[in-house]
Order: sequence, then structure tokens, then C-alpha cells
Amino acid sequence: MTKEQVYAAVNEVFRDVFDDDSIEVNDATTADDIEDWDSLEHINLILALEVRFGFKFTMGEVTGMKNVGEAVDMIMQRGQL
Amino acid sequence: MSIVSFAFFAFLGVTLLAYYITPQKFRYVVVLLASALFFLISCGVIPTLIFTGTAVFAWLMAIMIGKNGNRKAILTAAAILPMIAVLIFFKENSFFIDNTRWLRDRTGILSDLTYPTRTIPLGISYYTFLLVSYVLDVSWGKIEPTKNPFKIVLFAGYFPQMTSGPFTRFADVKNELLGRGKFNYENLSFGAQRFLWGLFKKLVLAERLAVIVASVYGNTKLEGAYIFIGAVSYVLQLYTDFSGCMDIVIGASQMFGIKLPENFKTPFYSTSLSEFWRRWHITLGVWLKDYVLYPTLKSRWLQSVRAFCAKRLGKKAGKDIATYIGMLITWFSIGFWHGGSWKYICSSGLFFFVMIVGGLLLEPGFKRLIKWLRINTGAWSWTLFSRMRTWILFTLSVSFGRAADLTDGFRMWRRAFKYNPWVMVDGSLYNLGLDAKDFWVMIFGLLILFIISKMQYGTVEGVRYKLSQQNIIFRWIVFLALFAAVLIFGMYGEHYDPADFIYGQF
Repeated sequence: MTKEQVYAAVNEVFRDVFDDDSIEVNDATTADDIEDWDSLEHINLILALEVRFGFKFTMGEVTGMKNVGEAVDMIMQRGQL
Repeated sequence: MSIVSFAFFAFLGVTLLAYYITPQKFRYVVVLLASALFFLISCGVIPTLIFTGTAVFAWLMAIMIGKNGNRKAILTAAAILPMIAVLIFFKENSFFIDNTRWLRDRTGILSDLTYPTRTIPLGISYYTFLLVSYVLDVSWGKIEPTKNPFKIVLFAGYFPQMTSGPFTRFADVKNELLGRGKFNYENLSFGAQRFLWGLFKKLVLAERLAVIVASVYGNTKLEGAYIFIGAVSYVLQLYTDFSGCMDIVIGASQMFGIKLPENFKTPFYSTSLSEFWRRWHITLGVWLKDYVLYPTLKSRWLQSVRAFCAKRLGKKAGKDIATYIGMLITWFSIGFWHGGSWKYICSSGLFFFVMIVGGLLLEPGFKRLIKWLRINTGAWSWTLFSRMRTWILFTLSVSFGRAADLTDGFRMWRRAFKYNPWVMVDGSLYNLGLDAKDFWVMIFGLLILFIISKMQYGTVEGVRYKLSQQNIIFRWIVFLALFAAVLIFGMYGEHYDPADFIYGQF
């Protein structure tokens, strides 16, 4: 899977979790950019990404993740693409 | 040693002087020695040894966790469980005592049980949480374990923050704690201003509000409007006391060039309870989110529950049920941490769980109602209504925390339904322990607090930055006026002992 394909899949997860088809994520997207991305939805997003890409984020990654770019890098390294 | 005592002011001054005349490399030793001395003076040898032992234990376990990747989970549990056990043994045991007593009195079971008395080590619920976060951060690979045990002792026992927080993370403060920050006049000046503002909140406002609160809560004959006055005064006391304490702590720390995280962000401007809790005792909320809520929601058992419910009730229901279970555990922890008795578990924990989850569940209905009534949620009147609603719900819940127990709290609110609004204007309020002068000093002080909060709300730079942009004469007039207000109107002195900070007991 190319990085673009990973982004497309990640975008799909975002749209599903936040129930918003207008979402377009990129490297720099953070919780400030998506209205409903609060601390509760953050963990729901993580769980949805885990299911989609078949691997587990560590707790350090969950609490330290700063933007979508970091999540995509982790997926590229460890995800089942 | 209280942080609003002259002894502490002298202690702080001497430590600051020693800190800045010491070469930068050894400054952390000055803070470390000052913290040890503060601990010894405040609570004696045994609690100091318990603290040091706990910190060294956490340091050692973190090193072992760092070296043994394959036994990380067992070692992490072996590190955390004893620390939590010590905390419960000393601090939260009232939960077990109260409940076993209840059982004994009603059933006769456990009639032979005796309860040893023990002194609670200073700051144990704060330093335990800091050390648990350090161990977990190492275990989760967020930070490398430090080889120097003194750094961990200093991190958990840093004297300005150790009695009431705020909760810090090792990674965030280690550089500044180790004295790598350079001398900066702005830090010293901003720190002193913040310190003074904290003294104003505590000595001028919180101590006066405490008199009214004690009068209302201590007199079961008072009813009607008095109950509302008592409850509102208690919320204001809680805020001025705790946020004042944080101003003193953060201000004192800033004078050393050590920036501590903010614990309050104008909470009474919140339009919902969940927003309120993101603005009140922020570092506790973030701590519980990172170390209780997230691990719980990510745990295998809760994911099984989620999958089970999703299969039978639908994907959204599965997600919601798992989230609410995680929130229930977190809110129970908040209540339990506040004092280990049911009045705290209910008033500081479960009440907010019910309100927030209730709000989430009813949200679609509220949205439809708002649409149907054509309410403009962008209007200031709606914002005001939302803020008032948040304030009322918060006041209602924490008012139970000040009562002797839950039953006493309910009894108090039962007395509230008596029509006597004239007591607000006929001078009766002067019978609540404050004479007319003290009463109006309090009202005027609260007005100043409101104006400053209004100026602070929504700004990034803050009021002190705005003040720093003014001319030097104006700046000094403000500073000296605040100093004079604390000196003249502060409730302290030879025959007056300011009460301990409310959050110091938690």
C-alpha cells in the first residue's frame, strides 16, 4: 500500500468515526481541526484504526500522538496494509 | 509549613537567593535540599522516609522495566500496585473503614475489627500519582528511565507543588527542574505577581468566604435563601482557595524559572459540565484520562464487552456502552481520590458521570428541541443560560462535599425550600460571621476577581502580559495596590491561623 492509499483508508476511518463525509485529513491534521475530536473520540478513533489496520498502538503512542501524520507513519511501519 | 505562612515566605526567599548564586549546574541540588528541608519541617522524619522510599522504589523499578522488555507488564504491575496500596493504606482507607463500620453496626459481622490510627504523609496522593505516571511512561516507551535517583526524588518532591499539585510529567519538567533554565527577570517578576494574586485569593477572599460557609453549614436552623448563599459561597471558596493555591505554587515555581502546567482555565465560563472539567483541576483530569480512562478503554476485557454489545445492539451502542463503562470507572476514581468516602464519590464523581452521560444520551433530543423552538445557540443569552446551568449543576454537586455526609447534604437542601428572600437585603447576612466591613471587602474582592477573570478569558498572553505592556508607574501602582490589599485586608496575623488549603486534604 502506498502512503496515498494509507491516507485514503485513514480518511475513511475518520469519516466513519466522526460520521462526517466532508473530512479530509492530511499530515498536519490535529484534534483542533475536527470539531468532534475530543479525548473520548480520540480513543474510539485509535480503536477503529487498530481494527482497520490489524495492529495495536502502544499506550505511549495513544497518549503521545500529535497529528495524523504520526499515526500514518506508525501504520506504515507496523500495520497490515 | 503552610505556603501562606511568613515562615514559608522567608524559606522561599532564602532558597531563591541560594538558587541564583549557585552555579547553574548545581542549582537542582539547592531545590532538592530545600524540598527535603520543607518536607522534614512540615511533617517530620517518618513521612519523609516513606516519601523517599517510594520515590527510590519507583526509580529502581523504572530502570528494571527499561532493561527487561519481555517482562515489562509484570514489572510495571509490581511497581505500581505497592505504591497504590501504600496510598490506600494511608489516605483512602476511610472508604474501607466507613463501609466495614457500616457493616459491623448493622450486621455484627467484623465485630472484632479494630482501626489503627495513622498520620497521613504530606502530599502522598500527589507524589504517588507523579511516580505512577513516571513508571507508566517508562513502561510505555514514552521516556527513558533516568539513572540518577535524585532526579526522581526532586520530580516527585519538588517543594512548591508537592502538597496540592499541579500534576506534572517527568518529560515536561525535567530540564527546568534540573536548573537548566537561565535567570530571567520576567520569570521573577511574573512569578512574584502570580504569587501575590494567589495570596489575595486565599487570604482576602477564600478565608472570608470560609466564615460564611462555616456559619451556614454549621447551623441547622438556617433555611431558605441562606442555604443558597452557603452553597454559592462554598463554590466560590473552593475556587478561590484552590486556584489561589495554584497561583502561589505556580508563581513560586516561576520565580525559579520552572514552569508548571496550569490547573485552571476560567472554569466558570464553561457552557457544559464536560467543558467545566476540562477547565477545573486540569492536570488531574488529564492524568486520569491518560492513565485510567485510556488504558481502561483499550483493555482487552472492555474491548470484548464492546464487541459483544456491538454484535447484539449495533456498532454505535457497542461503542457507547464501552465508553460509558470507562467513564464510570474514571469518575469513580475522581470521587475516590477526593477523599475515599461516599459523599465525595457521589458528589465529585458519580454525579458528573450521570450528568455528562445523561447529556450525551439526551443530546439528539435536545438538538431536536432546540431546532423546534428555533433557539439561536450563537446568541449571548443562550451562552449565558448554558453557563448558569453549568454553574448550578456544579454548585449542587459540590455542596454535598462540604456537608458532614450525604444524608446531611440532603437534609440541608430540604431546608432550602423556604421563602425568605428578604434576608438578602435586610442586614441578616451580617450575622453569618462577617461584619459589614468584612462583608463588603469580600464583595468588592469578588468583583475584582470577576474583572480579572473576564480579562483572562480567551487570551493567550494573560493579564500579566497585558500589564507588562503598561508604563512602569502604572505597573507599580497595581503591584503595590495588590500588596497593600493583601497586607491590610488579608485574614492572617498573630491570633489568626489561615485554614489549610481545601485541596491539600485530598
